[in-house]
Amino acid sequence: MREGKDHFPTSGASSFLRRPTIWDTCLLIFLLLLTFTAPRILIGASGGSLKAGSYIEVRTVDGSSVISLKKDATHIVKGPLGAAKIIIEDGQARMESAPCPLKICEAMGPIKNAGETILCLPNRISVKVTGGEGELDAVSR
Amino acid sequence: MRSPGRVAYLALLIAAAFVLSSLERALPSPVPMIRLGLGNVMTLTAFAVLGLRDGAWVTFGRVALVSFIWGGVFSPTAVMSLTGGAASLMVMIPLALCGRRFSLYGISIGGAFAHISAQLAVASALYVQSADLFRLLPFLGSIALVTGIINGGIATLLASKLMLNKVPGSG
Repeated sequence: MREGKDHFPTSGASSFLRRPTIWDTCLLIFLLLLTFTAPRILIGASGGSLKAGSYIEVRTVDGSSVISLKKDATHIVKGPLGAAKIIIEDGQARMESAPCPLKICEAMGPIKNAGETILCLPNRISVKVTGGEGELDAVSR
Repeated sequence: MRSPGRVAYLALLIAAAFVLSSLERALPSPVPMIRLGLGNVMTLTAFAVLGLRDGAWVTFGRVALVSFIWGGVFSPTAVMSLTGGAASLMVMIPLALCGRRFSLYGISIGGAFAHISAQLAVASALYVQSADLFRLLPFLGSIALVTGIINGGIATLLASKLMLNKVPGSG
């Protein structure tokens, strides 16, 4: 059954059909490292600080607003797909009950450090933590 | 020249890739943004059974069919899946040509990683105009590596089975 030129297995191609090689493992390790280092390099100076922020800047298609992280609160933000709930609790902000199909924003979990961002692409909402320590309470526009 | 049997075989793999991609689109994902990328299994299978060029055709055929049938040809989703497919080929083919060092597992994880990176890059450029989206890379990239291993395993199994059988019409 396995010999004959009419078989599709082209010579050499079947060398892919093996157990994972040492090279596969090296590639996996390299990509794992890249997974965790590339974002830092790419985002660079724009974020990455480990200081707790004091505000979140919420951007939607209608504009942006700045909300204090110090006060626990629930904010309803409207996007093209509908209303999303942003919950502020213990100096952390998280997206809850978003109307987007994939719920990536909910899965991104709570954010608290300056520069951290929750993005909801389908609903065009971004939530970014800004500011270290400051005096402003709440500014909206 | 491809023999008619080979063409039919290629068409079969493209059709299977299309069906798997469509099913994946239709099923609600239990966890956000986690897609197995089962369409890529057929590309990997084609790499082993038919060769690299036909594998590339499976990817482009799948992307074209999915875009034509499920969404606009120039919709953002179509652009995303095209760049994802092209990027994964641009990584998988060099890996496959790399002196037989990599098995389907390595080729698969390389492709999966390229796919998610390209999609994040396109989404960053199209929607966000900043690199913020790459904050998702540790999360999505790790998942891509896991699904890459799973897909590599499925493709290895499938291609091994397929290669045991004589293909009808091949002579």
